[in-house]
Amino acid sequence: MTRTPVVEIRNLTKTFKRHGLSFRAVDDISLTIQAGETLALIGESGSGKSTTGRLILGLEKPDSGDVLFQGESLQTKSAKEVRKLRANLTVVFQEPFESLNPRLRIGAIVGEPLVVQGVASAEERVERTARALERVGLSVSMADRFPRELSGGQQQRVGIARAIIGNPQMIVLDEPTASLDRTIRRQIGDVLEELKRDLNLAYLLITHDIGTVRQVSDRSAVMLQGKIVEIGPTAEITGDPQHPYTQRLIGAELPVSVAKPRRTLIPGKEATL
Amino acid sequence: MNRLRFAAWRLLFMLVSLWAIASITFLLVAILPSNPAAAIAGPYATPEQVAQVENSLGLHDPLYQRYFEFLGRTLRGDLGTSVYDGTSINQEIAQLIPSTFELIIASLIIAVPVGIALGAVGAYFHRKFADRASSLLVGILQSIPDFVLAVVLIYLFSAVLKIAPGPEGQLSIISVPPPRVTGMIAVDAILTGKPSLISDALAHLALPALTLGLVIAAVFARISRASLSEALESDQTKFARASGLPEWRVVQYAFLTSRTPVLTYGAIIFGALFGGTAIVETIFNWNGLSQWSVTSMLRTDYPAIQGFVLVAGAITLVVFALLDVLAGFLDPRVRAQ
Amino acid sequence: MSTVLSVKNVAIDYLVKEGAKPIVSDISFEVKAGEMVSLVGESGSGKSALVHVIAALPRSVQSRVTGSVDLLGYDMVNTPAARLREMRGTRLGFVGQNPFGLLHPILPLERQFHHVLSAHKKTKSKADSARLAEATLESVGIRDPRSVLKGYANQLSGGMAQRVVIGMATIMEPEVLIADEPTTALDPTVQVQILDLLAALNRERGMTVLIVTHDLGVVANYCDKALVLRRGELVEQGTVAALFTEPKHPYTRELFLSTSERVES
Repeated sequence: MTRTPVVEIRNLTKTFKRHGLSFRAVDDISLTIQAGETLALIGESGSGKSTTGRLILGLEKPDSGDVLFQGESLQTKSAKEVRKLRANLTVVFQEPFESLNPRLRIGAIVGEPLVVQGVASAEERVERTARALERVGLSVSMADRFPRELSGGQQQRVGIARAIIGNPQMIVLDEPTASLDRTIRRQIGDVLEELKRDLNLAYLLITHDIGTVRQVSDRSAVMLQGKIVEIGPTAEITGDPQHPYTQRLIGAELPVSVAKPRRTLIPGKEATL
Repeated sequence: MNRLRFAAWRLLFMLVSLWAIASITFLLVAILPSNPAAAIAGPYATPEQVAQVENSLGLHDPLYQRYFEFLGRTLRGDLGTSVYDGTSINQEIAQLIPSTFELIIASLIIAVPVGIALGAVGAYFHRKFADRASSLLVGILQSIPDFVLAVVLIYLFSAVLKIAPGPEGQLSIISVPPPRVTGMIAVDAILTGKPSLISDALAHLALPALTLGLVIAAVFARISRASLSEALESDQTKFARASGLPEWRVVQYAFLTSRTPVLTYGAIIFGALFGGTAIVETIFNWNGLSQWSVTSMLRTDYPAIQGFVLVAGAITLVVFALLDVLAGFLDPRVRAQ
Repeated sequence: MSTVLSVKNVAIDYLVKEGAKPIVSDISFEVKAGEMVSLVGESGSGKSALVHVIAALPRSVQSRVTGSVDLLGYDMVNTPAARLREMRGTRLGFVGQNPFGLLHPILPLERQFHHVLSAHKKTKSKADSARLAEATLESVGIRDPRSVLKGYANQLSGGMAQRVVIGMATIMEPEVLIADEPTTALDPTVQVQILDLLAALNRERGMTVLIVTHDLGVVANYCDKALVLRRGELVEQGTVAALFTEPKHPYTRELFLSTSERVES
């Protein structure tokens, strides 16, 4: 008997219009994410990975295809029901500073999902906020500070704390490490790994940072121009990529080591506009 | 999007807005609490006489009927007749608009260069003495109400220095107006070429234009200072300097990027001046449209009010559309929307 | 090899309302001709402030600089901007992080190239400028330079736009190129292409490249030497090979160890 995946997408397509031309941001893709599993969606700008994330979160409506959460199709749900779903399916965004309300203290920011869902009393909120902060490696005293007082890495931890406070089953992380230095990326990766183990979380990790992919994800799917060109266990995708684009993508990762010889110029010109 | 398509879309949008303005104008005036019939019938009229006037004005007709009558009339270009003195509103407006137009243009001719220059100085010499000086000047100009400035200028230039005429209107009392070509006295004087008349008209135009010009210059100064200083502190300016471009070219580049907001505000100011010149027109006895609109409102001459709002709204919309098209021609980023 | 850049005891303070905020303190180093050197550090290390002082490009914050910067014989700290203009673009090129913020958004690219070239009297006519710009864009890897030049910056992809920026910065063949996080805003496969391009310019033209980055991968794979900055201090400098195999300063060790691959071959 197969378990119901936390998230399943079937033949998902989304078309956008820009300057009068329509293009397929997401082109007939299908995949599943099991409970407790981390799937990385790897791609560059324009690959459709962020749009896929938004479709899964219900922030966009697909033109065709289906998104299922816990086996139930999102298409059949009303906007209200989809919003209820968000308690179980949360999101962490790319720019930590821009996704945190600068006027609120950290405590209020982290506790906000509980207020929105209307589930906990004030004391419970304080308690759960403290626990969430501890889980992401921040001291509870941070709750009184404002976002601008925190470093980029700390701000991103706050974003993660906010995402776990409602005990979700899955978190969608859209480029969570993009604006961070490498050392901080490693630390955020550690936090994500720990949470995954302790809380049995599933992750959809949308990124082009192969380092974090290697660190955190079990399986990886590579997207190019709206399609999935390769999918499989992360070790295989990053260690032995088959598709030429995947090879280029993995090859573009700059290892922090002088063990291999210095890169030489790859001949050939870039494609036109 | 290319330039022509952009222009076409913009103009279509303008037509729809014009219709919306006409409808809103109608509704607003229709719900005015005052009863013009009572004013027309006079203080000694009996209720039946008032009711008679109301009927003749069509005030008892159902709203939708009055709306379609209004739309039909307006589309034919007929703005109705004044309930105050029975004159054709079309004629009134056509007569008076050029004077206001002339005043607005003359004010902008002063306001735009002065304002942009003040703003540019402030932006370029950010936080240095020149910036503080220009900010102070702009602050003063912005705080002075136009009627105070008008009176001060009249006192200074007319009474004390005696180099400008008093506030007697567009021409001195003994002058004969030039033959009407555009309706704008100074322009017509120039077009029909009588030197003494030209200098008379311009002399009378000077103070009201200067009053409005200085007050509006403050607004242009603020906008241009804000957008120019943003441009001058941008990475683009840094790269331009790093490429070795001469300083005047760097400043020109900054002007180019900040052109669009200045144009946009210019359009808004132009629109606001239709009606906004009322006080200055009254003080200088200019006999313009804004002055007439205030008088009409005081007399609750509702077709006149309706006509004025419609015309002022239409002109504003046309100016907005034209300036949007111009901005689209000049700035590829605007077209891309 | 001759020294092209000599930085001696440079300190930078930002003058803010609360007083003088030290950003960089007492930094000294040299760069020789033809080297590809990186100024590496995390955010807040002062690397960007330092490189802007080296290039004498003012920033919006008022600052006080002490010490000396000798770049190709020019005193970058004390020489007035008007006198430095002659070497900008001709002997020193600069490339920044976001190409769309560097190129002018309203003017066609052709015109921008012409302005740069005629400012230094390198070409006499628009046609000459266009020819030279075309050749330059082709050499930096743009396949259809004519149509790119006739268009606007916002019509290009990030990678293409950054190539145009590099083209504009190097069209007059400067001896030194300063690149401030040139690939941070780009996709990974594009990053590699741009870095390869810079490496090629360094090798084929002997152009000295000073690249500011926070990415040790860039340092390890492209640079000869590195200057490690931490909170405004130069904690270590040396050849990349030495820094990776025998880092001396505890910070350098911590930096390199925490980000290097766990699985070493």
